[in-house]
Order: sequence, then structure tokens, then C-alpha cells
Amino acid sequence: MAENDLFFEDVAVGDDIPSLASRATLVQMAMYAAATWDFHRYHYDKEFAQSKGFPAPFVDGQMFGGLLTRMLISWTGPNVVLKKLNVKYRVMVFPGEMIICMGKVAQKYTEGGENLVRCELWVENENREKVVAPANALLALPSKSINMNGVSS
Amino acid sequence: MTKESLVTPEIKAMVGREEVFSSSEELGRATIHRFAVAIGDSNPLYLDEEFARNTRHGGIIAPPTMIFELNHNLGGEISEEDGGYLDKVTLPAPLSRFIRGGNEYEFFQAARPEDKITLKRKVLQVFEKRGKAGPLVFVNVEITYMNQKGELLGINRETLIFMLE
Repeated sequence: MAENDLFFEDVAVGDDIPSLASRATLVQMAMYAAATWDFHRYHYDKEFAQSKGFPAPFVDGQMFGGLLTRMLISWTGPNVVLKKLNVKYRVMVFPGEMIICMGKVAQKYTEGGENLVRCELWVENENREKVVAPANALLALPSKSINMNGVSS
Repeated sequence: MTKESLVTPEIKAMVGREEVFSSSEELGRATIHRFAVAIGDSNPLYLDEEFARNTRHGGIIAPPTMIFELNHNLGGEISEEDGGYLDKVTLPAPLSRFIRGGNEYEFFQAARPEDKITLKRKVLQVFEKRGKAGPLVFVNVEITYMNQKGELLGINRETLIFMLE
């Protein structure tokens, strides 16, 4: 087990998840496009985006899933299993905007030998508009007692 | 007064159609590294084999949402016009603009550098809604990801929203 593990016993309903701020820049959007081999002009070509009626290139929605996951696993440590993540996109995000990923613990329960935590998540822009909401994640956390894999922590 | 539906028989015929795409090569650590860098994630779980070996995962894994972007990495042909893949889910003109409505990801097993990915893509549903700025056509797509052993890695159910030009 790693030093920074968050255990099931450490978590309470209502706990805030440490937020994650990230600035969307054209460079970062191009990096995401390149890393995912998604070369759609929506995400880097201003002229093309405007020709389709959008004010500027916009962030690929799936990147928010990546950022929310980064926030979650930074919080829990590596000995977590992400089971589900649902996201709804509300407002488009354009280059230069600061976005903040946030969340809180909504529910904790044990099922099928797993220690599960459901988190409510959302992403805000600088104007406090929710750009991603609602979002939900289901995580299996390690336990301080001997877990189902027989691994004692 | 009835108005002609934007969901033409041609569009309706997409529902239930299943397509399979397979990668002939392993993901590799470089793919994982680049994705981690792109989301600003320096977690050693994705980058440091020794660190990752001592976690419950037993080795480097891909950041969880990465596999759901692998639709692209399978090497389809790209349109010079919009940069999109020719085999992507798309609707005919005049519904050529689209945005993403939502994603529901379900994770069964982490993807690893040695995995060769096969995905199955199926259109589940197509329906029309009236938005503030005009009619919208919603397309629900389900994409299932497996590794070379036929083990299920994840399912992505996504909603694409198509708009008039």
C-alpha cells in the first residue's frame, strides 16, 4: 500500500474532494488532440470552428473525464479502482478559460465485498457556471481491515 | 401541423448497426505517457513501473478514461475538411454540426501497455428534440472495449448532439 492511500474508513459522506484547477489553452488542447489521435478541427482550428458557428475552438468534452479522474486518483492514491464515471456537458470551454474540477462524497457502502464510495462531481468555469454537471463517480477504496483479496494493509 | 422529421429513414437505419475495430499493436507505455501529459497528470501509477508494481494494479496502467479515446488510434482515414475520421458516427447534411452531450463510462479492468484493443461500436438510439436554437438530433452510441484475451475493459455510452448547419 502506498503512503498516501485514502482508506474507506477515512471517508465520510459530505467530505470535499480537493479541487483541481486547470487552464484550457490551445497548446494543451492540441496536446490532448495529439495524444488521443483526435484531429478534428473543432479543437484547434479557429477559422473552421467559426465557420461552423462556434466562437472559437472548444475543449473536447472527454478531456473533462480525464481531469476529473486525475482529481479523484490524486485524492485517493493509486490503490483505488474506478468503477464508473458519468458526465454531462453543459457549457462549452474555450482557450484561455480557467476550469475548476470539484466534488464531494455522496454515499459510501459495501457491496460484493467492495468498499464503494460514490462522489458527486462537477466542473466550473471562472464565472462559476457549471460547464460539466451533473457528474458522478463510483470508486472502490482499500480498507484498513483485511480486504477480499486477502491483502492486509 | 406536422413537420417533417429530421430523422430520415437513412438515419434510422443506423440504429443497431454494429462495427468492430481492432488494433494490431500494443498500446505501449508511450501512448499512456502522452495521454497523462496531455491531462497534466504526473501520477507515477501511469509512468513508473516500479511504483506501479507495488500498487494493487501490479504494474503500469493507463489513466482510466484513456481507452475511451482509442476509437481514433485504430488508424482510420481522416477527412482533410474537418479533420474527423471517415468512419466516425456522423449524420448526413444538413446535420453536420455536432457537440458532445455526455459520457457514461463503466470500467471493468484497467488497460495496460501490453494490451491490444478491440472495440465494438453500436448506435443504440436516435431521436429528435427541439432545442432553444432549433431542432437537435440525439444519437446514443455504445462502445465496448476488450483486450487481446477477449477480456472486457470498459464500456462507453455516449450522447452526440447533431445540429443544423
